[in-house]
Order: sequence, then structure tokens, then C-alpha cells
Amino acid sequence: MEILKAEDLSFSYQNKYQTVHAVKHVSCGFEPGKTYAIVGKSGSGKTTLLSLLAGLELPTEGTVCFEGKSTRELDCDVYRRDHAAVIYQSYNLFPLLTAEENVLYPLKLKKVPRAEARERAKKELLAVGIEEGEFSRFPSQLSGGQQQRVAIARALAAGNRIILADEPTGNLDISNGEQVVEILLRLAHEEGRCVIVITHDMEIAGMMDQIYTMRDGELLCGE
Amino acid sequence: MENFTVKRLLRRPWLSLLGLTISALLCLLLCVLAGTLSAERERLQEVRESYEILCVVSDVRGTTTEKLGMTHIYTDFLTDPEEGIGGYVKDLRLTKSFTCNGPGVAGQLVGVSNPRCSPLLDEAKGGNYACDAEDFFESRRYLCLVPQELYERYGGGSLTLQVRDPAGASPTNPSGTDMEVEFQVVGWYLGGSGEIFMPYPAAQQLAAQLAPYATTDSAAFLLADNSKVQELTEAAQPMLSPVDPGAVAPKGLYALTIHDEQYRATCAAMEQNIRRLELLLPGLALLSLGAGFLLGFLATRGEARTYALMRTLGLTRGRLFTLVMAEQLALPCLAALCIALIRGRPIPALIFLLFHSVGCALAVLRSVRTAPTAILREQE
Repeated sequence: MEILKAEDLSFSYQNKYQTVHAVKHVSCGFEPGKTYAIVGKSGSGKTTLLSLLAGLELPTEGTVCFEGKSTRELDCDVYRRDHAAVIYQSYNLFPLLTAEENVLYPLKLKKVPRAEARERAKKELLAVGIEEGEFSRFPSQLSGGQQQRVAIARALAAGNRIILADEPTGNLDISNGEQVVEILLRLAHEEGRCVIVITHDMEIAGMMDQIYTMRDGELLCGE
Repeated sequence: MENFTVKRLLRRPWLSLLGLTISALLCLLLCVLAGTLSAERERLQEVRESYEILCVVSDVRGTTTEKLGMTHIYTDFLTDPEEGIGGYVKDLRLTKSFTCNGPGVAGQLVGVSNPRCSPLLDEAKGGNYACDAEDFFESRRYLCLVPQELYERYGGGSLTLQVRDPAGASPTNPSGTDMEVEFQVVGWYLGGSGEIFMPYPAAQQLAAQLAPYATTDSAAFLLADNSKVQELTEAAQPMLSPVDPGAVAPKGLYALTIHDEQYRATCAAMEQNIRRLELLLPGLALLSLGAGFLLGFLATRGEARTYALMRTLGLTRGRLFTLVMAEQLALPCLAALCIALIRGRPIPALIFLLFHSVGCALAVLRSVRTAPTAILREQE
């Protein structure tokens, strides 16, 4: 049963010089408990597809359906807050908030009671390997791998069932990259979340359950 | 969310301190300026209400204000609010002089309608007098105020004087008529050269007995309402024209001089000052708007990615705007509140906040408008 589905999805936008057809007639589905990799060269439309799946943009043609409902009908802010978390390659954390406060932020948005929110934040931070002594550190005091893990903890704490990760290991060394991938795999296989990872690292893509390849805005195949 | 706002403010202390200082300074300036403007307006109003514009009747050429020999037609014109200019007049000062002789006395007998008719009686000009009769200046009885040394001899008693009205002289009686009049001495004054003062109404009564008709030697008054100079000039025109130094004046034609030059100069200077302050006020309000924009711009300049991240976490654009505005306005609000309490002027503080908020909103709108996807595209 697909939790998220793209049907004949197209998206174009105007840059300074021309209209860019970033995504062309893409159709694909994503199931809970599985991991997906979307691979492709730079400019192939991967990130645009991710922003469409996250409800950050509305498609010019076609639909993105979450549990059978189009993002055109959904309140996209609520959809992101409650169901789809986005993790970026960098700039993932609020620089003026500590690691713990970064994880608490979406819980505040969901109006989770303070004590419960702190409990959940602590649990998820520990789950991604952030020690208690590091909770009060600011992002600038954490390593790149730790920052990315805090970002994942934030997505986990909010309880979102879809994790959309844009080059999550792009700025990390091999060891930290492997740790992050392991966490993402665990999220899907043990907690039943749907994890969609955008990457151009074929080694990481190979660890995912399914790979979609994009070229010039078109989805070529799904392995 | 609110505690995150406070935390963010505390974690960039220099920018927060800069914002607080600029806000406090601008708000204080606005309050001081508004206070000065208000005080200047009050002072101007006070000047307009309390400044004494002296109006003096003279001959038509303006060469003399004494011994005018005005008939009652003119004094009636000065006092009648319907047919004359009585409505514009306050503190009317009329005098009528006689020559007089008596035991130890040889000088002038002056009928006065008001203590301000003579500097000897006018306390504002250093005059000093005492009088037992409360209605002295309105009385028709033959009462008099004498120099203090004379009062020691006649005080409480009577003084008989030989009185002559110089205006009563005629071709057939060139020196005028003498009359012996008994005065009751009811008070004294200090200084002077021996004048004796009597009530103006009694003096008119006496003059009517010494001459074919009673006359008045001088007339002056204060303008009742300083804003009605022009109206007074127009209303006085039929009987009292403006001074014309070249006029060939038939006897009995008089002029009115309104001494409002100092008043007009004072008001003009104050009005100019007020106009300058009124120009500064919107300037300062615009400066508050500019400061709001600048501080908002500085605070949000590098935050586009943070705001985009907030949006991806599910914060609506409206909520994001509200949050960022709250963060930007927290310290200016605090500054405005303190200044308003210290200076006791809430309205200028509110004006500062309003303009500061608008400036800030322009900068914040610019930042929160950035679509989150723009960052994703940058990365791609």
C-alpha cells in the first residue's frame, strides 16, 4: 500500500533567462517501511521532485498524493508538520538554538506538552547517537555528522512517517555517512517509515530498497 | 515558541543591544520633540491669551495722546459694545485733568478711571497707593488721593480746592471758570510731583460744571481678545482712524494706535519655531521607519535559510512573519514602554512603535517571502 504517490508529475519554473522544465511526467510510488533512492546528475530534477513530494511546491501538472489525497487539497504546512520531514545536506539546524532546542522546535509547533516534548527529544537524540552532554551544544559546536544526526532526530521526534532526505551524507566523511545511512535504514525497516533519499552516491543508493534514476527531469527507471 | 524568541534575542547580544539602543534613542528623541512642541504650543497660546496689547487714542497725526479734549461721543464709542468698540476693550484708562490750588497745593487734579492710568498708582510700574474707598475709581463723589505728606495733614478729612478746567477756556472767558470744590481725602500715594487723583466719573461731573461740555484728556485700553486686532481696526474706523502723520487734522478727529508690534514679533518667532518642530516630527517618524527597516534588515539578512527551514518544518508564512516580527519588535517595545513611562508621553512612543514596526515589517516581509525551495535549488 503506497503512502505517497506521484502521478504524471510535471513542474516548470521561470528563472532569469528561461522556463525550466525541472520535472517531466514523473510517476512513482513510495511504501512505508521501505527505503528509496533517487539518483541522477546535478540538475536532473531530483531536488525539485523532493520539494514536490514534500509539498513545498505544487506541481504544474499531475498530482502528489499522500494516503490518497492530493497535496492540492491538503494544507501543505500541516502535511509537512505532521507527516513529511525534510532533511537537507546542510543548513539543517537553527544556528542560535542548541541541539536539544532544535529537536524541540517541531514539537512546539505541534503543541506537544513541554515535559513530553523534552522526553521525546531526549529519546530521539540518544537514538541517533547524540550523548546527553552534547544536548546543550550549538550547531557550530557539533561535527557535520552530529549535526546531520540531530536533524534526523528532529524528524523522528516529530513522528513524521515520511522522511525526505536531500543528499544527507553529502557533507559527511565516510564513517559519519555510514552512520546516517544506517539510521535511515533502521527508520524504515524497524519503525516502518518511508525514507526517500536523494543522492548521487551509487554506493548509498545501492543500500536502498529501490532506486529511481532521473535524467533531464524524467524518471528513467525504478530498480 | 516565545521562549525560543527570547533565546534567539539573548544569543545575539550585540545586535539586540544595538536595536535596543537605537530604539530607545529614537523614541526618546520623539518624546522630547513632542514634549517641546507641546510646550511651545502652550506658550504661544499663553502669549496669545495673556499678552497685553495696549491701544492708545491720539490726535490724528499721532503727535500727542494727552489733552485730546474728547467729547462723550468718543468715550461712549469706546465703552458701547453695540454701537462702538466696547466688546474689544478691557481695562479702559480714561483721564481728565484740571488745574487746582489750595492750602499747600498748587498743581494738577487728575480724574482717573483705573489705577493703571498713572504710573504712580500702577503697582506693575512700581506705583504704591492706599485707598479707603473700595469703589474709588467708579465713584461720582468728590473723593481724592493725595501725596503721603499731604495725607498726614488731611487724611480722613476734607480738602477744599480751587479747580479750573483748561478745556473750559473760550474767547469770552480765556482763562476759564474757577470753582471751589471740597474733596474727601480717602487715601495716599507715594512719590510724584504733587498731583491729586480723583475718580474719573466725578471728574466728568465736575468738568460739566466748569465748561460747556465735559471732555476727556486721554484714553487707552487693552485689547480684550488678542486675536481680534484686525476686527478692532475695522470696527474703530468710523471714529478712530489709523494714525496719519501727514493729515490736515480738523479738531476733534482722533486716531487709534494698536501697539501690537512686539506681540506680533513674539508670536511670529514662536510660530516659526513650532513650524520647524512640526517639520522635524514627521522627519523623526520617518527616521524611526528607516531604523526599523535597517535593524530588521540586519537581523534577518542571514536568516533566509533559517526561515526556509522553519517553513519546511510546517510553519505557515503568516505564523513565520508573526514570529519574526515579535522577535524584531520585542526590544523596541520594551524601549518604548520604558521611555513612555519615564517621559510620561505614551503617544509619541506609540508613534515611534508604529513607524518602527512598518519599517521592520518591510524588511521582514522581504526575508520571509523567500520560498524554501529556492534554497533547495541553490543546493542542487
